[in-house]
Amino acid sequence: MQAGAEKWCDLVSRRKQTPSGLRDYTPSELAIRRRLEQRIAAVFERWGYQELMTPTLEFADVLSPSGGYSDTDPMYRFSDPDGQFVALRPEMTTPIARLVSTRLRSEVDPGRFWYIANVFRYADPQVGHRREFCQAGVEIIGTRSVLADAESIALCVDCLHGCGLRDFGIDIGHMGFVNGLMSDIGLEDSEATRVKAALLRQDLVALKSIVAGLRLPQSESDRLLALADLRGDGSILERGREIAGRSREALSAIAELESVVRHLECYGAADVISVDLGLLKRLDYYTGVIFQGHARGVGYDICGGGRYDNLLRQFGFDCPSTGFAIGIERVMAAVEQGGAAQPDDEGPFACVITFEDGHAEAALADARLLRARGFVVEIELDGRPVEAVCARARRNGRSCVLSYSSGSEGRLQCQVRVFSPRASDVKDELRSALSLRDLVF
Amino acid sequence: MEFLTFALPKGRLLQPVVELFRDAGVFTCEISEDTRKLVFDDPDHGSRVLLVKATDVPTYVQYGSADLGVSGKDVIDESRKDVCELLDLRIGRCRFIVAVPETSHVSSVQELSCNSRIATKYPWIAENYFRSMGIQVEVVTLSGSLELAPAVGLADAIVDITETGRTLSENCLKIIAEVQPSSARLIANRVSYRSRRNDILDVARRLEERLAGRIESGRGGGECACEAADRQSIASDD
Repeated sequence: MQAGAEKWCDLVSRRKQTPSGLRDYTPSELAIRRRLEQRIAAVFERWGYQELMTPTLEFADVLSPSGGYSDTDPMYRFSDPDGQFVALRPEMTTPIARLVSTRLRSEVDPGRFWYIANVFRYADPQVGHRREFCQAGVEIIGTRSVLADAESIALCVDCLHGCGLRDFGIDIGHMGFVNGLMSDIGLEDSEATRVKAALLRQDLVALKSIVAGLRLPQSESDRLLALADLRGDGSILERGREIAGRSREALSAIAELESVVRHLECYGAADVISVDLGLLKRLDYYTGVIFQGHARGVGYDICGGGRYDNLLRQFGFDCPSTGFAIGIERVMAAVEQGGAAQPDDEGPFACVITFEDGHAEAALADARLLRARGFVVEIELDGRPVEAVCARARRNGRSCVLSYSSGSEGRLQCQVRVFSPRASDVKDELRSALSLRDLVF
Repeated sequence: MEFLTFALPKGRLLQPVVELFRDAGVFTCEISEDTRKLVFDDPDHGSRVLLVKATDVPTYVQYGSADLGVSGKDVIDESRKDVCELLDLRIGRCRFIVAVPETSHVSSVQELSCNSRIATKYPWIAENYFRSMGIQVEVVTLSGSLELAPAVGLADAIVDITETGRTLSENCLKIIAEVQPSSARLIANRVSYRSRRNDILDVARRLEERLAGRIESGRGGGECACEAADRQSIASDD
């Protein structure tokens, strides 16, 4: 619609809105998010991962590999001025697969990469489903080792601990178990798809009715229905082995999961993990060990990932990979739900500097010195009375106010008012940073 | 122990559902709509019951404000909420149907033209059904008294739920197609289903055993509750 055709009042009101499913961050909201991002990034770096970045927009074809987001999925698509179909990335794994298959082939022995990036999905904005949201994740590219699957999960657990989350759990499953079981039973593709869809939705009523409709022998029906119930600690793998029967695919899935669980015990992550042999993923590119995490008080998953050995092949580079993504906003929600410990890191001391006319030189020079020492320094721009400056500084959680004025005999006086509970530390720091200045406390 | 929270639908389904849950020993506290109370605690069984509008049950469960809920399949499908469906409680049974005036020459949905207007309280289900049949109809959403719509020319057909079809025939409407059956389901929040798996499975198991008992005991005992609910379609509950 042309702007001129809209009513004037609509235009005015639209100017104050954002499209549905998108959000702003005020400084205090963003501070919470950034703190989480920084903690996660620090964990990624500690595990030896390298950060990378890809463009927000990609060709729509790149973002729709088979098994990934498809034409029917809620991607924001449009044509760019060249007439090419482009889309906003709905996730990061596919763009990274593209980048690695083109420019980083020689670096995947294996390559460990991390990102924190916004992704976009055109879903109904509802619980936990925003249209723009932030994912922090990693990809381990270039190894089939089950150690990589275990590392990916252990790293994810470390990140969630790093965010201060206490009450969370990770469910681990394997695509090969469900798929192997179904082909062992001899389900046709369309039948298997229906069973998997019901399992994915955890729609047990539909699962029962679909399985009943397949008219299988009772023992085979029981094996299929067991998929909904094979969840627990590592010991559930024994039952899984019985149900796997002679399916080599399902048995090797069990063996891999056993190995992953054993390694996760060594990583000290045993208390947060469960095995769910009926676990499935919405995207079809997953091939092996998969997992997803939930936190107390948040009614939806907060993270998930798994092995995708065939995705890079679609970009001409046959290379096994695994990885995961954490929903930053979802972890924020979990933190707000009280599932997290209080932040333990205290920021640097912050001070406000205000000065009378004629003392700019001293005040601004001191500001430079303080910033160089790691202080946060804010300059009072409007020359308000010291009382007002102090009130504002207290409100904003600043540690102290330095006011530069002419004292007796016109001498420069630097008066310091300290609000921080750690007053003596603040004073010591100031004295040492401004050792040549005569500070009056 | 932390409470397991149930969202139960106010209205006609409530009594048979409460009876079933009490018979199964899930909670025993007095639950009634007659008071203004909306939250009922049963510390002995570790249960908390929330009474909410029937159409809101999936919402409470999806957001995790309730771990479990009871909701008609019609409401679950139309709300498109992401919840786990654990058990068919076999109460409040009814069918989704397409109906036209008895005087209409149309006797199957294929005969409806693409110009047809369909009145319904379930626009998503109706839209989806006709799309799957390859018929491009116009869906008109109403919130009640659907039978009026064809009578005054607002719609050519309606999509509604019915239990016996009696209300339809009283309003001179005939059924030309069945869309899907519906009944009350036990639903669970996705995360609760994992984080409180054992508690939830225990509830589902008790209910399932109780339901199986009802079938075995034929028309005796608990069966009456099912029958009573069956007579009262969950359709007209709002």
